[in-house]
Amino acid sequence: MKARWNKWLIGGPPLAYLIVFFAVPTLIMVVASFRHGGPWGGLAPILYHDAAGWHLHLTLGNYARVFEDLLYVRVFLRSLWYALLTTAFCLVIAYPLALFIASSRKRSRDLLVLLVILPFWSNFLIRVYAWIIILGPQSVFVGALNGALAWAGLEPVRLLYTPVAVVIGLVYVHLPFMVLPLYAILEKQDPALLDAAQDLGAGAWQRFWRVTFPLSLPGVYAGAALVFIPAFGIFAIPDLLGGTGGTMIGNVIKQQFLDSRDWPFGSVLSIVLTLSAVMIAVGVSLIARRSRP
Amino acid sequence: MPLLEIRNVTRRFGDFTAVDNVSLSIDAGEFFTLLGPSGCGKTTLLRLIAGFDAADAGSVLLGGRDMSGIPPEGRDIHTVFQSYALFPHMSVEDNIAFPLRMARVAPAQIRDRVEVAMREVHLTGMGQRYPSELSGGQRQRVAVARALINRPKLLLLDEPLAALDAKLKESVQLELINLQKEVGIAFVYVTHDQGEALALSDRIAVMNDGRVEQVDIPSRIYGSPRNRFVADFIGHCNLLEGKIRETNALCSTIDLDGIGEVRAITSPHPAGAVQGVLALRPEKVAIGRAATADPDMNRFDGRVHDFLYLGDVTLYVVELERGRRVEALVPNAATGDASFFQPGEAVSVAWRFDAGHFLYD
Repeated sequence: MKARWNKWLIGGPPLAYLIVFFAVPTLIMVVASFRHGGPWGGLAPILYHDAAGWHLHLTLGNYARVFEDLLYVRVFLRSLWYALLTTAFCLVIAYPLALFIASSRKRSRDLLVLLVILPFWSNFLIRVYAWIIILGPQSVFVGALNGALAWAGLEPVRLLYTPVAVVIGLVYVHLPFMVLPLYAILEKQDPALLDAAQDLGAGAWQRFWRVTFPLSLPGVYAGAALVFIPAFGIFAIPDLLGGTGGTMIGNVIKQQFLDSRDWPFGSVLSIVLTLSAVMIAVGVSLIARRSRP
Repeated sequence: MPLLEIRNVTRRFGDFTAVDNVSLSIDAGEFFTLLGPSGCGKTTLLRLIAGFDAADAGSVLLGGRDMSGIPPEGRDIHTVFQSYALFPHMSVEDNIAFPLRMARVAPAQIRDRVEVAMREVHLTGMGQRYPSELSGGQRQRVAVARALINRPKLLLLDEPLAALDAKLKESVQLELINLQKEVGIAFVYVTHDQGEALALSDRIAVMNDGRVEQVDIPSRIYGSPRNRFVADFIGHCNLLEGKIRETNALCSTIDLDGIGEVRAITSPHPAGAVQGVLALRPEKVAIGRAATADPDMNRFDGRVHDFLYLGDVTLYVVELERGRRVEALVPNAATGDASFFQPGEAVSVAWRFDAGHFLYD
């Protein structure tokens, strides 16, 4: 009897938190996606009254609108593509970094991990604004790049307000979420396994591909999920760094709610975004499970 | 030509000398054991042989070829690690096949050889299991099979039985000896367990503080320890301080502090040395009520101070007249209830003159 009370005492608050801030809002959104828009935006009343009595005022039309215009499908696919690119770049950059931290001396490890999470100490928007300066036409970096291109006989490029800037921003913001799970799993790896592989004839490259990497796959999957899911739905970075060509689905959702005040359609897009992210995550975890005992 | 030659190898870590000018040679097909307490340098020496570490001085030669600069993957030497270091993401089969894959052996041949190897170590039918699904003994056998599959010239074993329980240890020891004779590959076995070393080895090198104290066959390591450390570390031993009185070809006369004169055999006499210790195994000391008149025996009267009944044997601590203590190990060979000497009872202890070894300091 007492054990059961203790369980509720520990599990109750987080459960209540999830119900209030996750389950209920999701439910409200699901219901909103079937409702009609109000005459000045927002939502029309869910019930209406006529001679026959009270009726529910619901529609499936909001969902049909997703496919009425190819625009939305295109933005979805573009967001998916940017999120995948971001995940891939983060993995390629984060893996060597995590490996380096995990294999450095115990004392310097804590410092290096601290450096990885240091950006979190400053405001997200300030960090993204910094990239506006770095990628802007007056920046030393872009100047040097264009100098090199001119020297090679190529046209100068513009970075800010392009899809390239969006992906750079996405990679920058999400990198720590890839580094940390990779570091956590690489740091736990038994160094004796690498000794054994080397002793049994494996060179450095084979040791990595046959021992280190396969054993780090849970960290790769965790990092990929932590990067992919938020990158898929983000709006702030394309808002600040992307031009008209870099719009992502998060921007469209934000526009529906704030500018167009079309709450039902905004809800529909949100639900489609969430469902596709969940489907991709489930798909990857199924593949992941099959590849491991 | 010996298979493995270690020539004047020294390895220092800062001020600490882990391996101090060690020279050893190991023959093909030999079961050779490095025995010593933890921190004696045996594991460091093993890592030097495997190539995980480089000596500060001296050289390691395999088949007459200097191994310096050759990484572990380039040496024809495999290791069974203390933790076994089985790859947790690979099945038993894939673990055992690993060295063959690294050597780019054809897949069809790999399959056959893995099957044979699994039969050799009694793991047939377990190929699809993962290391986490195996018992300690099975893991140990996978590690041995994996290290032996492409027939290295030399197999190093780093305390491979430390993780097994006592009962299992004995049967695994027999398996290891049989396997070693079967494959004919030289084993270098590291352990701190003297019982294991005596049971398994063709020869033992006893190490202490980075130096080799004695290299010999097990019976001579036990029966004729060369110095105080070896006598004390291997098995149980009475160590009685004394001075040499006189020595001749057959035996020497020793004056034991607080006990009196005894006869014993001595190691060759270093010039000027007189102080030393008489090493006397407890099982070579007889205990009785009646005095023996045998002229080959050293005999003293004393009282039983205490005894420990150990099942197969009983260990008596006998206090001699002048307060010195001697331990005697008596087999409980008689049927029925053994009759014990009681504490305080007057007894005499005796041992043959050649049971005691006088070791110079």
